[in-house]
This record gives sequence, structure tokens and C-alpha cells, in this order.
Amino acid sequence: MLKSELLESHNVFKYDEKIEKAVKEIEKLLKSSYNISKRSIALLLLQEDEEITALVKSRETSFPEISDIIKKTKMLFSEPLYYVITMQRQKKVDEIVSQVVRTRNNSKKLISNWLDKITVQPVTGIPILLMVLYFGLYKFVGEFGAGTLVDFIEGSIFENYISPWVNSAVKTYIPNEAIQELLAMDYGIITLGLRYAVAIILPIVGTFFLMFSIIEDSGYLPRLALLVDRVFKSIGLNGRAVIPMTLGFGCDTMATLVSRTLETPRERVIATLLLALAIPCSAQLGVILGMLSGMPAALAIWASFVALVFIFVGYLAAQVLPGEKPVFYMEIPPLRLPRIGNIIEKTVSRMQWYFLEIVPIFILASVLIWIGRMTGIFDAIIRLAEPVMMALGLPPETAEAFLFGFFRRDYGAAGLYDLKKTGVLNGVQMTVASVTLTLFVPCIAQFSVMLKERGVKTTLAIVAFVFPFAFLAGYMVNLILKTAGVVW
Amino acid sequence: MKCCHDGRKENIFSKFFKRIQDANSLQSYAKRKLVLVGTPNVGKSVIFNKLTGAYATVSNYPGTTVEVFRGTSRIGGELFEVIDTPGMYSLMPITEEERVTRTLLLNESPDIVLHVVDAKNIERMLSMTLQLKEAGFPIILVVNMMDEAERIGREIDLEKLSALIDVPVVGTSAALNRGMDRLRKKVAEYVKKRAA
Amino acid sequence: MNGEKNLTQLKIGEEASIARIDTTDGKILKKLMALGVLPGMRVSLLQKFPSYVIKVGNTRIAADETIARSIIVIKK
Ligand SMILES: Nc1nc2c(ncn2[C@@H]2O[C@H](COP(=O)(O)OP(=O)(O)O)[C@@H](O)[C@H]2O)c(=O)[nH]1
Ligand SMILES: [Mg+2]
Repeated sequence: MLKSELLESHNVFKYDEKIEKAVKEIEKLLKSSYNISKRSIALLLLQEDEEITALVKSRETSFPEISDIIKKTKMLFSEPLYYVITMQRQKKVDEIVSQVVRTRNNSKKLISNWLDKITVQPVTGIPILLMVLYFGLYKFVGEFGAGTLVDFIEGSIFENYISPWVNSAVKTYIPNEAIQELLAMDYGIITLGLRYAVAIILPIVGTFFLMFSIIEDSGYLPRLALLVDRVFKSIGLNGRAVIPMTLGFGCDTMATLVSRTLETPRERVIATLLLALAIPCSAQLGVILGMLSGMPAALAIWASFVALVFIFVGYLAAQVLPGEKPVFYMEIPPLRLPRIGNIIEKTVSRMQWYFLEIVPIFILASVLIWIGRMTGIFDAIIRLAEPVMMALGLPPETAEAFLFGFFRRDYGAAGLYDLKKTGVLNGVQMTVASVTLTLFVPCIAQFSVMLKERGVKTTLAIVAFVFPFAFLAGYMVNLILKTAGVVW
Repeated sequence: MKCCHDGRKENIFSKFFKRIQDANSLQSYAKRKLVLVGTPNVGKSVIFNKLTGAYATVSNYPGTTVEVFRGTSRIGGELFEVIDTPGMYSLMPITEEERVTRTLLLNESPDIVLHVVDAKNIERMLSMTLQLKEAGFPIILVVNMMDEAERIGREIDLEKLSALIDVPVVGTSAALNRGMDRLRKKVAEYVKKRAA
Repeated sequence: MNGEKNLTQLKIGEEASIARIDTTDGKILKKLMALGVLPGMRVSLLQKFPSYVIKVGNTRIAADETIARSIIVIKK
């Protein structure tokens, strides 16, 4: 049998006469061959499916006649044809279901019913949400991933074995000092680029993706969405956007990509802006949490200020940006015990994406840093930025951290960490620097995805806003802390 | 975003590559194509995992950011490429995910389409089965989560259902590995019958 | 019409039949129909805050005020 013959299947459900008549007439006019049955094409045309209409229009010379049939058929009904056709089909389904489904009355409730309920009601749902965040994000990703695992891989394995070995090997075998620096030493491809990839990214992003996959597979995300929908509406998003936003705490670059699943362009722009501005990625978060962990007050100020900026800028964006207001609807699946297989598949595939798409950009960043340092361009930029740092009440050395922050969000944070260790930064300065760095431009990978996803104009507009805003915010934090007379 | 498996063979992250390449070479041997469709949360991915085992590749569908999983499975002595799609509620797409799923159905000419539905909610889902049949796709209806339907006291006469809609029907509880052998058998039978 | 209300006017726990979807936005209509929220189906309201949660058949659906208002029901 021919493939196209196979497509014209038999024993299909029949709609009412008026619809069937239109379908027959349209079918006759369809001369080209399609990958689905002509009957189906005709029905989709009647329901004004955009893609199919465009396809048929481009292929059939008789399209005007088809349009006529559609118009005439539409006039026979007071409701849209989409509605009419769906209702007729559903009636058939109900008829079938009534013949094959029986429900016994002694039905037991699903065990998860109780959990189901308490996760969606605000009184219990919000404490549960905070617990999920605390244990999932703070304890597991922050303390275990960014703390224990990073300390082990970076502190024990790299610092004690790999880096010294690479450095001495490079020194012995490569005479050229510039090439030595490209490969090894403080900013080399292996000792910085690769070390960061394996020692910091792998544990932090890995634990985050693992946790995210568990939460996703359990069916918790739609509950999160319904809990935050009202708040998100005030920043121009709907509850669904909680998915890319949460993912942003893992990797803002991936989250920017995922924001494509939001329905309206307006929501995508707002999400992209907020991800670029106020959502720190896990690598950055790990370093900042580590740096501020000894000072709960600084940590609290940093967190609440960034959260405030998130709401404030989102609110402004929602007021300013034109476009349709978002609506929210979502199916709430029952909570289920996550499946190991599903979790592994999701985690591994995300890690795979991260290593294939993001890590190469970071290796490239090491090369760019090397070029910048070799040519003296960096020194020039740093000198230019120093007065800005001073205006924020920060020592000039922080300029370097900010510059590196563009290449990788966490390079910047790590730079601050080093300054803290050497005692250059006091508590206030550290708070100001952390706030500014968190808000400051997205990393190079996120920037390139923004360009690809949102276009040059939007991206430049976002960056043109974020850049001065971050410094202004830092300036204000400094001013507030100073006037309040805070000294750490 | 570029797809992930061409060119960069000398990459250091060879572990990931090995996984991808093994799967890729298998996929190119596969003669037949099986596509899983259905609304979100009905168990498509669990079925995909059970069918394909360890080797799966994930890539963004060309020109989109929607993830599509591909793997291979040997069913009835033949090698199948198995494709897991994001959720789809009807043949008329509204969201990006649905658009991708339909495009995939249209472009990949599947040898078999498994429409996976939730036994607790078939009244909401059979409508798409009728649409898929109407479109001429070679479908098998997989009524999954039979265990949960049972627990709420629901009994479904699958044979009668199959007769009424003229589509092969299999009941499964994929997460508990129930009915998976029957599903494989049905797939093999169906493909043989169509080839004849 | 007699006895018609929109979903937001039901009490929590109350059950009714969907009479029609009242919306000028074709997209909302399509979304709801695709989710299986169709005239003739029984619906019950499970909660109103922070979002509306309804049960149709064995499915629970969360929706915002706009959507909930567009679902017109009659008590039977
Ligand atoms: N009880 C039960 N749970 C299942 C069954 N099949 C899948 N699940 C669970 O349902 C959830 C959704 O499954 P998944 O495969 O991710 O659905 P998908 O969205 O269609 O890919 C997961 O938590 C699965 O473990 C089943 O037959 N019985
Ligand atoms: Mg899935």
C-alpha cells in the first residue's frame, strides 16, 4: 500500500452533516499531498489552524474556493467551528466512555490526597514552599554542593594535585611565558577554565539540576506556580514563569532559553530582564553565600535588597511594557514519588547540555581574559572603572572582580571572595559589592543567549538598563548603610 | 541553539559524547520510528525509559528550545527509534511545545504512534485519539496508570474500547512495569500487519 | 439567565455543571476546551486563594480570576 493511501484511514468518527459536507468539498479541492489525511487537513482548516492554513494557502491554487467553503460553513453556526467540532467529538467520547468505564463505589482515596491539599493552600503551602527552598536549595545545593563537594574537588583534588602538577608540567615543557599563562597559572584554560568547570560548576550545577529534576518529577512545580501566580501577575508574569525563574537559580543561561515557553513576547522580555538583573545563578550564589555566611546580617541585607529589586523592577516593567496581560491556567497533577529513572534522565540531559553548550563558552572566556591581560586592555578598563568603585565606597581592587564578573558570574564573586580573604574588604563593602555584582550584567553565555533569543535591540536595551542600575543600587546600599552608621 | 552531536569529536568531555555517539549510531540503524504522544504527566517518559533503557539523547527540536528525547529499542526483533515528545492536548496546537509535537508528527512519518493516556482521565483524552486516527496516524492507544484507576475504583473494558474506536488498545502501569511486555507485543504485531 | 453564575461565585466545595465559556478571547476558549473544560461537564470548586482550583472529572486545574470568571455554570 502507498503511504498516502495508508493515511486515508477508515472507520473514523463522523461529525454532523453540515461539517461533513464542508469536509468533503474541501477534501476534493486539496490536490497536493500532505503528511496527514486530507480529512484532517480539512477539519483543521475549518477550525482556522494558522500553520495548516498557511501551508495549504502556499500549496493549493484553489485556496480562495476553500476559503469560501469555510466562510459559508462558519455562518451555519452561532459558535466558532473549533467549539462545534470539539463538542461533537466530545459527545462521541462521552458515549464511548459510558459504555466502557464503570466506577465501583467502594473507591479508596489516593494516599497522596492529603499531601496534595496541604501543598496548594496558602496557610500550609507557603511554609512547605519555604521548607523546599531551604532544604533543597540552601542545604543541598548551597551547603552540600557548593560547600562540601566543591571543597573536596577543588580544595583537595585540584589545589593539591592537579593544579600544581599542570603548572609545573607547563613550566617545564613550554618555554613561552605567554603560552604558559594561557594554559595554566592563575587564569589559564586548564587551571581556571577547566578547574572551574569541573570543580565548581559540576558539583553546584549538578546538585541543582538533580534537586530541580526531583521537584519537577514529583509534580510540585504546578503547585508552586499556583501559589505565586498573584505575586507574579504584579510583575507582569503569570505563575508558569516560576519554572524559568527557579531554573535561573541554577543557570540563568538555561533559564533564559526556557523562558521561550512563556506565551507572550511581553512575558518573555520581562523574564529575560529579571533573569539578567536579579536572579543569581547557582555558581554565583554558591560563592556569595560562602562569602557572607559568617555575617548573617549582611546576608539578610543582600537577600532582601535583591528580592526588593526583583519585585520593584518587575513591577515597573509591567507598567511600562505594552502587550496583552498574561492569563494563568494549569493542570495540577497528583503528587507522586519521583522515579529514579526519570530523575537521572532529566539531570543527565541538562548536565550534558550545560557541558556542551556552556562550558565551551567559558573556555573561550579564559582565552579572552588571557588576551585582555596580555594586551593591557584589561588594565585600561580596570583603571577606568576604579573611580566608579570608589564612588560606591569600595576599594579600587574590586574593579577587577567586576570585570571578570562579566565573563562568568562566579569569577566575579570568587574575586570578591579572594579580596575578603586578604582582608581588603570590610563587611559593609562586601555587602555593597555583593549586591552590585549580583545585579550587574549577565555572564557572557547568558548574554549570547539573550542576543539569540530576544534579538539585539531588546538585549542592548536590557543591558543599558541593568548596567547603570546595578551601580546605582550599590551606591544606595552603601549610602543607607553609611547613614545608618553600620560598621562591620 | 545548535544541536549537540556534530563535529566536536575531540572534546574532553568524552563520556558524554560516547553516550551520545553510541545512541546516535544505533538510531541511524533503526529502521522504524515510534513516537510517544499525549498530555503532560500521563507517563510518556516512564514508558520511553522502559522501552529504551540507558541510551537516550536529548536535543532541542530544530529551531526551538523544546526538548525531544530519542532512544532506541528492540521490539519483536526490529530496531526502533523511539521519540518522547513534550505534552500535547489536541492536534490543534496552542503552546510552543504542542506546535513542536505536531511538527514532529508531521515531519518524521512515524511507523507507529503511541497515544499515552491516563486511565483516570480517559474521558478528557480520547478526543485526541479520535483526532490522531482521523489524521491517519498508525496509532496504538496506551491506557496507562491502570493501578491508580483501580485504586479509585474505576474499571475499564479495554477490549470493548478497542472495538468501539477501532484502534488497538493496551492497558499499562508503566511505573510498576506492568503491561510493558503486552505493549511490545502489540507494537510488533501492528507493525507486521501494516507492512503486509 | 436563571441560575447561571460564574465560577468565582460558587462556594468552596460546591458542585455545578458548566453551561458555557463566556469569553471574547478565542485563545482562552481553546485552552479550556483542550484541557477538557467543556460545557456539560460537572465541575467543583476546591479553593479560591491564592488561585482558583477546580476539579473536572478526575483532573484538577488551577486558574486565575480572568479564567474562572469566564466559566459559566448552572447549579443542578
Ligand atoms: N502510579 C503510577 N504512576 C505513574 C505511572 N506511569 C507514570 N507514573 C508517574 O507519573 C508521573 C509523570 O510521568 P512522566 O513519565 O514524567 O509523564 P510525561 O509527562 O507524560 O512524560 C511520574 O511521577 C511517574 O512516575 C503508572 O503507570 N502508575
Ligand atoms: Mg515527559
